[in-house]
Amino acid sequence: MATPYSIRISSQKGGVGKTTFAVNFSVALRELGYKVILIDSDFVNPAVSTYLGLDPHDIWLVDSIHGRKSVNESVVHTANGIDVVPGKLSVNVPRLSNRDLDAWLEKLKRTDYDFIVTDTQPGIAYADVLKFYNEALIIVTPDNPSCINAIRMVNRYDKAHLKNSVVVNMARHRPYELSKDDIEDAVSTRVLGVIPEDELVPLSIYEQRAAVELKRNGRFSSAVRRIANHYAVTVGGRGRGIGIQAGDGRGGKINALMRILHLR
Amino acid sequence: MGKVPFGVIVASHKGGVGKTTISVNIAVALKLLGYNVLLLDTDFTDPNIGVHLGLEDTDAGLLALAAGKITASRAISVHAPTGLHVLSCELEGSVAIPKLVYAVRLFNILLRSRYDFIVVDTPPGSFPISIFNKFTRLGKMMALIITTPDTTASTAAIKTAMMFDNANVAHELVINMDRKRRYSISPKEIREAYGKKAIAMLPFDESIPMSIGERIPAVLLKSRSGFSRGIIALAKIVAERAKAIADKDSKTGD
Repeated sequence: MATPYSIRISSQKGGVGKTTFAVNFSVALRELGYKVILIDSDFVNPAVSTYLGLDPHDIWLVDSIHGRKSVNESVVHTANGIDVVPGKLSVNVPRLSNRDLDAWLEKLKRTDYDFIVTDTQPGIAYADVLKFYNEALIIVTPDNPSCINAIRMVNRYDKAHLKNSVVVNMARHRPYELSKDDIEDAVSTRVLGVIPEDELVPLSIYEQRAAVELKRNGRFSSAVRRIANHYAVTVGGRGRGIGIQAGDGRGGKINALMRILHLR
Repeated sequence: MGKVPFGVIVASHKGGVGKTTISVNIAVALKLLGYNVLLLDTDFTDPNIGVHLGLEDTDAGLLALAAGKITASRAISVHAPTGLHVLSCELEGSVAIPKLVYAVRLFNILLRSRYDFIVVDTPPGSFPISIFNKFTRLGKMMALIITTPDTTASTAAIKTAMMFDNANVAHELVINMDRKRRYSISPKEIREAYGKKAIAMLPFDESIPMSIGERIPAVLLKSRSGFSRGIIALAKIVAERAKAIADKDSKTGD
């Protein structure tokens, strides 16, 4: 069985659009035919369920990690077709040992998902947890505070030998903004995509639906979809076992590519 | 003013709602009103105040002072255009969260300082409020909870309010980046969830990203903008609140 490709959505600074990107990126991957699970590992301020209007009842990541629920039992199946493990909104930040978290992530690695997308809280990541991921995407906004913090995050990922790229969010192309080249020079890692600011995003949060689904051809949706396409081509093409599972009638890398071309 | 500084804690569970922007601008506004102000960056994971004010990165700041390695006068830098005193966090310290005992020591040092106001920028999420215990016991502190008019930030703000309630800290709500869209959460809805009216409503303002790019606080760069006028009004409310508490203290002979 293929191993899932695990992507960490992160940023040192808050409010740059981690959750927005994680949700829409997951849905965009799903639209390409992949089986996707989205983990809300923001223990401080989990928001995925608010974004998607989920009603998780008693399904929470923390319970799953503590072994009170199996991985399968911890999953909410959404109308978008992605699976979500929601975070629990509580005043106290839950205490988790790295060992519990490691064990849980290892279990997840043995599932049949094509992509594991993990939304995180702003700030520090401990090196131990990082080995679970194949790649980290750092979300930045084109301003100094956000990019200076991204430099530190890139350093930390490089030290942990974790492949990393940057996604620029909320670009408005103002004279006082940092350009894509500025950012690439400063953070010395690849800028995978630039997502423009779009009124669609606050609207989609209000409507509690994924923006890529709400308006398929919007500026925001197209930019997110381009990044998802990038993963379908490069990750799939490298033979990481990513692709549609045989037997679902839509299988194969070539078909995945066709769908991408059709989308473009 | 009384002998003890008045603490203004700027907090929110959600990131990116404008904590640092508001901390910097309210500190500058209080300074412009003629008070002695210290701006304190306790965002250990992501210290940003230096970036907003155009100050050099420090290698001897809050963490070194808290650990007792340097004196306060060495750790504090001065923002030349306004004379505002700033205690930033070292970048190197971004991984090591200081021990609670250091933080308590730091606040004991600051409690004896000659400032009228200490404005504290905090990291997103909860933090050990017990470090402010002495301020709290003196009643010389208030928290400003920052939110934006959307569901995620507002739920986070209610969480922050609960955290301050548990610690017995007086708090007020500030709505930031208001764009008056039909999908914005209305002030009425926020009031019903939070339990009282927001103390200030600051508009979304183009001068903010510009001021961050220029590394000049918005209240200095565009002093007549909607945001700046809102911040100055908020600074006046905070100053009045501090004065009322100081007056009450002197009456009771405390």
